[in-house]
Amino acid sequence: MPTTMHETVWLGRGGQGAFTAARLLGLAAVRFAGKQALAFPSFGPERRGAPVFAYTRIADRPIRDRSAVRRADVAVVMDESLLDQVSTDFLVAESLVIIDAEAGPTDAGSGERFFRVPARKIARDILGSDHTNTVLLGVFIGLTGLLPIDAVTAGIVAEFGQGAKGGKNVAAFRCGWEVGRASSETGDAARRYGHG
Amino acid sequence: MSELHFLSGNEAVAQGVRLSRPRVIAAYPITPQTIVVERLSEMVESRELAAEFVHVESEHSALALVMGSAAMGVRTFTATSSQGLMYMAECLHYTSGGRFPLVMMNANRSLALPWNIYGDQSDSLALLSSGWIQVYAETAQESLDMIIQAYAVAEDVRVRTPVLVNLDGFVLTHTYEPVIVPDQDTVDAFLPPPDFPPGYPGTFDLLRPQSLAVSAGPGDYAGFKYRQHRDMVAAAEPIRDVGGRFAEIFGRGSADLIEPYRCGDAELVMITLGSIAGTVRDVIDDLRADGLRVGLLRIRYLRPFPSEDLRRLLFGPLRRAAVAAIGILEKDISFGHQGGVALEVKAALYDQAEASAPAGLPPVRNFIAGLGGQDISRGQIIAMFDDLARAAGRDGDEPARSVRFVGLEASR
Repeated sequence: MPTTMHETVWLGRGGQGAFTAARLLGLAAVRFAGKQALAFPSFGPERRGAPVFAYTRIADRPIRDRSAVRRADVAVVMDESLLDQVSTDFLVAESLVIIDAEAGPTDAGSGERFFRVPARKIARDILGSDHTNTVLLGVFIGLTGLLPIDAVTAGIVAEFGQGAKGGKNVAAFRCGWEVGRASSETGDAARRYGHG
Repeated sequence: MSELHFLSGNEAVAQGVRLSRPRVIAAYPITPQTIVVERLSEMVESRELAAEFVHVESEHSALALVMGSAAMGVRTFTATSSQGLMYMAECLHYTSGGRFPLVMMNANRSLALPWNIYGDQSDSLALLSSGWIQVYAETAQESLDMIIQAYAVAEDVRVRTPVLVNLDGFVLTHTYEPVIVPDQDTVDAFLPPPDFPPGYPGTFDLLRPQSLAVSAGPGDYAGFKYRQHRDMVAAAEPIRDVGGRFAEIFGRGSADLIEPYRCGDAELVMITLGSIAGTVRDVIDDLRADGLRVGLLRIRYLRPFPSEDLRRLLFGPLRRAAVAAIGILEKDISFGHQGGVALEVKAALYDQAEASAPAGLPPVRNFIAGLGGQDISRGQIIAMFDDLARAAGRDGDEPARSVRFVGLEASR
């Protein structure tokens, strides 16, 4: 049986919400998409500003392997400066890399595996903060179709509540989703990475 | 109604504790156990859990405090890890000797020096002889389920022995995964009330003064220790009963102290404990697909040690193939000898050798891995099975090193 495990690495700095994004993706998969998932942070002390890795494994069967992620299907980079500072051995030729960048979005249709999107600008517009995690989660789902949009939306509401915070994060997610979706329609990202 | 949640091992423990309704909680926070204490304090604050939450100045005080509370006849909870467990070591022997039915969660973490906050099993293995029942969880779900079962076992009047529920630090405590949280009514029906029945042994109150936690001279002391040992050995049966009843009511879990996986016809058997068993299962499925007869025995309970179960699973009449080599994979070392789990397993095998001589025993290899949070990869586990295959083919003349530090020493 071919392996159907999907592995995502989230790379950010302490306080940016990388692990919240990893956990949201897993929560949506388990509670609202009928899938199995594990989400875990890079283990150790938590410090604001320090590099943070977070991981999400998603599969249709129970996930038993708890060893480190060695090969990312998708990597989401919340601070591009980290790419020069930390080990990224988990990036392989097939990895889709989503990066928060001032310029963008880039065209995934070119076959480029690095997809740049101005997530911070979107977050500031919609959330009024620099928390890019729900925006980037939207870009990720828009590009890959890994989970149904409704499942992730329900996950965000479960996490942030029905109030203003939940509403804004759903809006941020949907905005990111539109950006990713628009690019995936012109490109092959969905075919390459999609499971939806 | 039970509900499907996405929880970390620490949160699953907190949910299991909430559902068990302890009257008194005392704990001192320490990484990687802290979230358990945080969640429980929030639950008490929001009145979701009607318990007295006592802030203590140390782990030593935490265990002493819940011991005193149990003497007043109520269910309690505490949790710790690593240096914290070491600091309360004196109280571990005290509480087990006093036969207080306590439940404690331990986030398995390395011991200093060098200072290291990551996971391994050195802490609980160092206190294997402290008189506590020791159980090791593989998943967050099993962690929640074991907390509930631990109360049923500890408080069984035949057992009255404290239970330490172990979760691998970070790998289990900090990983989020699907967890079914049972509903309160079902747990209430499963567990006895959190106030012990009147006259429960080892308790007192103002109307029923007793002398507890007594002194005993050379004559009586040995008798107390004999009964402590006898009852711990006999606890295996209540443990199976509780596990079986839990599986019947909640629809999951094991009644066995050792859980076999694809072991009945396995020629190469890996014995391990805790969350690494999951990765071993994946490797076994891969190697089986290549035609290798490999299997797993996951030790759930290290105390009471299930010697007879182990011998039956390795050599019993229901086996469909003889075991050719045994590996023991563990995250600790008893310096100057071997891994603590290997010593346990080998003691049980010696009894088997007496019974089965002169047939002899298969070679045993001890793999020390995961110390101080070191990742254990699938590739390393495959290499361990390669080692076992070579050990099985050895003619016996060539001396073999039986202990290997994975990632530090080459196999031979």
